[in-house]
Amino acid sequence: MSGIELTSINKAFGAYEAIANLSLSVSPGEFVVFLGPSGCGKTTLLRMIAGLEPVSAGEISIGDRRVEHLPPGQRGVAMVFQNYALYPHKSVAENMGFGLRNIGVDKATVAAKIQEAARILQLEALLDRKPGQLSGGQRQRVAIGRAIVKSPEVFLFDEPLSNLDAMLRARTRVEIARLHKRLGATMIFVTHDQIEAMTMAEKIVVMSNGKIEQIGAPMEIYRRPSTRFVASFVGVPAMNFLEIGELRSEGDGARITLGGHDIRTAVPTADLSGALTLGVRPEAVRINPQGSIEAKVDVVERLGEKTVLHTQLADGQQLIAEDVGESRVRFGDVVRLEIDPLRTHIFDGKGVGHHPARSQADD
Amino acid sequence: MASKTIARPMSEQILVASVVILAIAWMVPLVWIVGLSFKNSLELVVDPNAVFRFPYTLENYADLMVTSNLGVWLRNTLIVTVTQTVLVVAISCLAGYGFARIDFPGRNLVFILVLMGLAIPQHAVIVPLHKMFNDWQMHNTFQALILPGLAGPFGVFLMTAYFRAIPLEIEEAAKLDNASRFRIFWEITLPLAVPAMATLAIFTFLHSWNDYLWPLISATRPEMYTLTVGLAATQTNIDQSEGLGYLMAQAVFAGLPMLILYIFFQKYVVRAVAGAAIR
Repeated sequence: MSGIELTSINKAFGAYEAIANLSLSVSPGEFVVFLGPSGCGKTTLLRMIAGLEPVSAGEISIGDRRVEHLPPGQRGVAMVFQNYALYPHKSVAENMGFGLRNIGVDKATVAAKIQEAARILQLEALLDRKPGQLSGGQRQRVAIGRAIVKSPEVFLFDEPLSNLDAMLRARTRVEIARLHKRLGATMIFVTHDQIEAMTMAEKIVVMSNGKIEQIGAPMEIYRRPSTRFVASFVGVPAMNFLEIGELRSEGDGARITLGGHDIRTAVPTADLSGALTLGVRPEAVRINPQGSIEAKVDVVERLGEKTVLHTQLADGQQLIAEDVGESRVRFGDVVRLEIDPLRTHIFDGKGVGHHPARSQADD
Repeated sequence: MASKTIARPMSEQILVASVVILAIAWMVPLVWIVGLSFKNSLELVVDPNAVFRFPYTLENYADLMVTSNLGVWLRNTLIVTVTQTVLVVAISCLAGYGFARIDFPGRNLVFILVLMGLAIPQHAVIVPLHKMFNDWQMHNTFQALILPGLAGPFGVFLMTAYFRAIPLEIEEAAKLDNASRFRIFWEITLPLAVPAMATLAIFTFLHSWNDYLWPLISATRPEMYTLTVGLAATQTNIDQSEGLGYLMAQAVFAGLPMLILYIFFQKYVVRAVAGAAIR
């Protein structure tokens, strides 16, 4: 079990700088998710750790070894690819054993390790089959099995669930989380799916345009997004952003005028500058007959356990709210909404997030 | 209850009819050759239409075994064809893998130069080739029959395209599995390219077996003839009024390996010919 240390990593493709001066520390045994939209550099970063992509500058250490100059096979990492990348002409057992044979492990040990991995992943009955004879989920398990048998210091996953259907994806998420607990190995998982990140990660690294936007535990990222980008990327439905007309300090927070409505926020105002935006997650916007905001409902999404209401304020701004699963609200209704002041965020002119004081917000 | 059959559309019927007519047109000469090979040559001199009548005989084939140089020509053809096929596939695989996967300076330029070879017909280089091999005193050797055929840009092009189509991730997975470059090529990539190799092998085999022009120039001694040159040399006069049955028996004998090859590798032959047509 080894940690990973990335120091001042740069990666350029010609004149285009994909990753600039990135540093990151992953503790031994930690499950870290790189989260970000397509093209943000998360897969490039993973491939540099794997050794499949050379770094332009910077250092990579796995455990106490510098590895940026080592070939992939000597870094002590195993990778599960998005498209599985199984060897089509080899059986499941041969796929899993190939890496061990290459480092001269004796046949009996190879066979034992394959059996053990097959048992963990319930692949025993499939060992003689070729990848073409397996379902997507089974192929995924073989790809994970190929990684497990090598007992690597670090597991790398490159969007491994994106080719699975929704049900299988949810199940495999749980399986990978269990596997992490069982093996206790360091794992890095790349995804653009924030649900995967939230459900599996101990630590999420949110990336955008080759830079780290925020590093933190899933709920930390969700509750206290450091930038407007993070706030918009994490959470479904996405956070509401409303332009603030006027802001007056009041007690620990402020009173905001927004489209003619008066809203309380618990965000301290001392450090705010530039054009300000109020951020509030849909679940912090609730129907309340005494609420200060009036809005017209233009879409009602019934999800079973809750109802998502897409509303429009008098000044034309959109506001998404949540109601109970059995909501009686219908399209075209005019409703009154209330925003929880402790769950509001303000983003300043540079997109930096400001949040209510920690002790208040965590109550 | 009357059963209903689904009528085929008119366009399909026309297509099928056209294919049948073409197939017959292709088959008639072959059937004719086989028929002639079972007829007494003297009988054919008297009446070429005797091919449609009994009696038929095996005497041409019996003569063939005794008198013809066919055995030698067949051996020569096999040596040239098999060697050429094996070497073309080997060279094309290595070059194709290099162009597809190894990033070396000038790669694209060299690849374009190789592809330009596709535009040069064999006839355009036949005189320089003849002079070269003459200067080296290599005519009437197997090396002379084999070497020019190895410079085949089509194979390099085909294998490069095929290797490029194999997902890079599979090789990357092998790199993470600590496999060397050669091991990746030999154990991972090459087995995945077997369909392309089979196509190339059959294409090369057919081409080499049927090649006439270069062996005609290079092999001037009968013991170095290939089948095509030997059969042409057997033809004594332009309309072959004498020994027709004997000549046709030689043609059938010479064509048998191709027929067997086709029966066993039909799928690949079709692919090879289709590939040659669209190149």
